[in-house]
Amino acid sequence: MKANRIVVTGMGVVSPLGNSPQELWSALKDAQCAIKTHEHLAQEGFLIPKYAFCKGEFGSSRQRGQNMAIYAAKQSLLDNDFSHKTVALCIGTSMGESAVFEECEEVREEALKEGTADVFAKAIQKSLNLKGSTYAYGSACAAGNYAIGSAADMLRYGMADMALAGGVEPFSKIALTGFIRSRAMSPERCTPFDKNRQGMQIGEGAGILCLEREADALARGANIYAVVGELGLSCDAYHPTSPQKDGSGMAVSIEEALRQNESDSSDIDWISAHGTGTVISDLAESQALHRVFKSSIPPITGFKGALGHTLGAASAIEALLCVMSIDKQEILQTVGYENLDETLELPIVSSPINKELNMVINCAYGFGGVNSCLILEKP
Amino acid sequence: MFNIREALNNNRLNEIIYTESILEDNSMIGLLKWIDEVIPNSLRHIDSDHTGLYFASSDAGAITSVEFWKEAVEKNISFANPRNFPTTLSNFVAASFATKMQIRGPNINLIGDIKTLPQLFFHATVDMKKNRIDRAIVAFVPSFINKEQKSLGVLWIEINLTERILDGKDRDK
Repeated sequence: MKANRIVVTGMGVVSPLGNSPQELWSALKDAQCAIKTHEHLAQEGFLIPKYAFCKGEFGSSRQRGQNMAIYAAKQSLLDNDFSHKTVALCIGTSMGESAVFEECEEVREEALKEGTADVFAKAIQKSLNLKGSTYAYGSACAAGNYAIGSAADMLRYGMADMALAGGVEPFSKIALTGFIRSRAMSPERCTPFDKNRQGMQIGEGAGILCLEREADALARGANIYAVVGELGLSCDAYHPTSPQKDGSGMAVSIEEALRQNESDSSDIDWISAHGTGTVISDLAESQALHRVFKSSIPPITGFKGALGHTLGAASAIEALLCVMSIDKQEILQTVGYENLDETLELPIVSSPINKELNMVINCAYGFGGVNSCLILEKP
Repeated sequence: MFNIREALNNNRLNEIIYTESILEDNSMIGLLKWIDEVIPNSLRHIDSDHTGLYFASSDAGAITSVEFWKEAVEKNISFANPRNFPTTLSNFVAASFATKMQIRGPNINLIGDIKTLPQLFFHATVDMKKNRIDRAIVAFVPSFINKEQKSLGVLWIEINLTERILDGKDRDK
């Protein structure tokens, strides 16, 4: 057993398919899709009025993300007495509390501070009265992975007693407009890795993991769901929105995660892919996986056909699903995937499978060329 | 506070270069122009794959989000300028830094005030200890929002390891 292992002892989620890990898992297993056409979005002028909204009420639009974050954080801390502990809060996001910017009439520092990316971690800290530091990771659509991997490093180096880490992204008119105008959105379904894929669709959500050092978790008799391995990072340094077409930067992030974890590609039992459903991104991701895994690519699932791309929350929710997969020793299917794309040559999971899962990876990439790969292991 | 020299064991640390600049143009465009004018000289012979960028600012993406949305609503959102959309993301400045300087190692972007600086050093040091990088660029830019402030300060610190590490032998183990 490695010294100073970091483990997951709690999970919380707000998602378009349910506001608890079990509710989300059941909906995904039923192959449900949360992306719907919304008349109010059409009336507001969105050319593709599709979105995956979360279930439930989360208050005013200006605090929607903060309320989602608090909800997920409370869930992840269930049964954990944190009153005497320092809790590091590492929360990722792409856009911040976007409605604050959309409703802003005058650029004033105090007004905009209500929307900047650090509001989520601060809101959780205030609501739960936590002692410790807060950190906001603005790493676009890979922000959740960055936050979780960073929190694990902080615990390894003794910088906190425990950590809450994940990602949050509330509905953003700016993001919906931007992705539509960038022609990244599919007018039909989102079908990751499918031969006929036409693009992505977006959604909102929050995913938070409670992390502790294994010794601390064992000492208090906590339920341990998974071990957090290393986070591999790289940057394409290539283009504001497009990935390196050969997937080389993405591949480096996977190779780095494996190297730092002292693992081999053959150790990986399953891949939770980024899988946005755009032609270019899925192609680049397939090239990256072929570079790393050669002819032995493990089974792959992409969750964005069911949940939409929840941007800064996506990789956090997907990491949570990795933890659940390890806990249940079961992998779920890629909702929306129907037709094999021979040019990708990927083993996409099209129906749930019971499988021994000892080590899995959660891949996430984002605008600005940020690449990440987080390893999660069976306890 | 994380002690870099202690964490890296003195013999591994080669140099720390510290720069403070005042930009006359308090905007993201001014910042990117500064990179063109100042930074390339200090980053010659860069090992792109083994350099990491650790960046923080108080509000990257906030003003650009307001401007993007204001213009989109004025024009009709069907005609919003897609080229401006990436600037609304909180990592746009860090990503632009990396692209201009071809930094292909880790790209950490924190949102917060000067108090985030120790966390940037923490990430840089951990990545050095993991032999992920040989060089770290730690940069902090305060608020873009305060337009009454005519200039913008930039804090820029380069941390370099010894040549023993730079030859890559340790990393290839």
